[in-house]
Amino acid sequence: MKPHRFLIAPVLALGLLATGAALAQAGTGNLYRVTTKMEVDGMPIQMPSQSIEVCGPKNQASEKMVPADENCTVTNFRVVGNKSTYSMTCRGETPMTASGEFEQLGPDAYRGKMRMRTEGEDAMTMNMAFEGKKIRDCDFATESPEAQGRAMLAKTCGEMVRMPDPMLYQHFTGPDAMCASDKGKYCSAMLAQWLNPKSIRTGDMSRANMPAGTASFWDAFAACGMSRQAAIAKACPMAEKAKDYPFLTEYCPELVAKACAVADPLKDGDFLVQSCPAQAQAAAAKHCAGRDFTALRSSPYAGFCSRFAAGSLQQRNQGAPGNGPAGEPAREQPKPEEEKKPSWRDRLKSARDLIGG
Amino acid sequence: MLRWLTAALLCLACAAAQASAPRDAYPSVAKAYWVEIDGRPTWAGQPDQPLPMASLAKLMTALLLAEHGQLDGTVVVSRGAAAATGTRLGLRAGERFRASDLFTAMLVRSANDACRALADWRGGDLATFVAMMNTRAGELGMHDTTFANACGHDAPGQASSVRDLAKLARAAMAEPLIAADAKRETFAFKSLGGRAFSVRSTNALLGQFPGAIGLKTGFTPGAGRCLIALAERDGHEVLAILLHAPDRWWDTVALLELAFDEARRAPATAAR
Repeated sequence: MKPHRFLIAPVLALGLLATGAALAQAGTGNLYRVTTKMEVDGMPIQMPSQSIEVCGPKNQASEKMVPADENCTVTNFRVVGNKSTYSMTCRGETPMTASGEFEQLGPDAYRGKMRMRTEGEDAMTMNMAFEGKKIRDCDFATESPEAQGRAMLAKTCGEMVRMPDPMLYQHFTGPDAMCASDKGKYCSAMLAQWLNPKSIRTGDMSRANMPAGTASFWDAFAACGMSRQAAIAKACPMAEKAKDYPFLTEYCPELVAKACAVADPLKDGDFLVQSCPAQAQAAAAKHCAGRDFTALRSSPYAGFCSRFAAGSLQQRNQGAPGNGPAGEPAREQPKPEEEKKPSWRDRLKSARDLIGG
Repeated sequence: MLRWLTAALLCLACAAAQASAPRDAYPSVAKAYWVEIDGRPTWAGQPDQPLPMASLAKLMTALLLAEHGQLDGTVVVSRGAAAATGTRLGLRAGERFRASDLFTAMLVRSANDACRALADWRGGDLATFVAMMNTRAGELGMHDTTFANACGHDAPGQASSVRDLAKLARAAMAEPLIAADAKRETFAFKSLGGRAFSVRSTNALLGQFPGAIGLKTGFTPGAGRCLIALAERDGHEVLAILLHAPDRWWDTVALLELAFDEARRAPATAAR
């Protein structure tokens, strides 16, 4: 992690990131312009001072003046005269410990300092000095960092519910989920959008290219109480109705025979050739067998016959040395038709052309 | 020490070559065949076996003509050209044509009289033109190829391998004139004296196999049915070459379908 992240985090925390326990206090607060200056032990670079506006409580001796976020715990908050002192421990992405003090400079101003030490490999110590000057009154219940954080979180959670990405399920499920109160809404919306044959098949195809152990939409389904088995049981009838034959072949083998009976070689040639050997053989016998490729120029079955030819070629070469384990999966194919004898046209061509196309 | 190191490096090179070597997955399709998917040799049988190549030889004739240019010149049909056998337009000795028209007719209809007329015109005589063909084959690294005539008639020393023909196909398709003619289904033109000709492509894949863009057919009793097929679909390109293929159309169509299936699967396979 880059050091500057540590430098910026506490400054932002003071004004923007506070989303801690709800403050029940109603009424007004003071809007302060807070100027901070940061130094890092052992780092010669001087950080420029920064100013932000923060709505703080009227009572400057309140623990709520401490720039803590939801990952931080404030302890030992003590008030002696016009000074308050405290300790703070933060977990999460940027774990650190801190100690600091506030000094009231009358009803409209304060100053203070905080010494922070981050943990981990890039541990460093930072000193922050700050001064606050009241600009005007503010509504602490709605404008405080905590209130703004809560509003921002509610907005973010709402947006995620509106566009329910399965990859974001951990924000809604589990004991520490930040949008746990919206779990029901998220699950309904996510399942409504993703529990269908197309999304499942696309999702699984993408999953095949991801490292093992990566969370997937199946984990999102499970976290919302929808097992894989239950999801497929719901998706299979949808696939049957929509004639989504690739899905049926892969996920609903028990429905394939029924689908084969109604599949149309004109539209479903791939499915017939791959999954319905008897029906493919029958259709090929009717529309392709014994015909010159050129004779099918205007036939609507040309596409099906091409697919059938591909299947037959695979079948014919199943035992070929190059079709071993490194080869492609062999498809179940009907016995190919008898080797075609040359048509009368072939014979005529052969006789006529000593050389030709 | 150095010898060991060299040996080890050679072994590594062999292993790499083996990993990318085409597999003989469909030996039933032809005496020799070659399939490239997006430029990668994927399946092949007898790739280096010299075999008669019939009219596929006309691709070299076309390549030399296209590379030389000046196809706006006038060709006077020689007696030899007018007497050419096999597939022909019926050109008459002394008849005059624009070279570019005969060039297109040679590729679209595989017309031997057009081919011979162009070879005589460009080379001065057939023997000189054939020598030019062999020189160009050497330049392209077609080590298993020799030409004995310009148009593909069976003859001793008229042979090529599918691997070599793949090199020729690539070089030919790099010429815009050949690439354009390779996908023409029909062609109509007139002699400079006004006699009209209309021909249809010998390549049955054009207009019938979705994505087909070429390239050349061939047949002689010695070579059997031959084909160089080129097709593009969904951003993938497949080149299939078959020499002596008893059922060349259906088997080529099947190979192309399977190759496009393979191309669609390839990105996912590679990522795994």
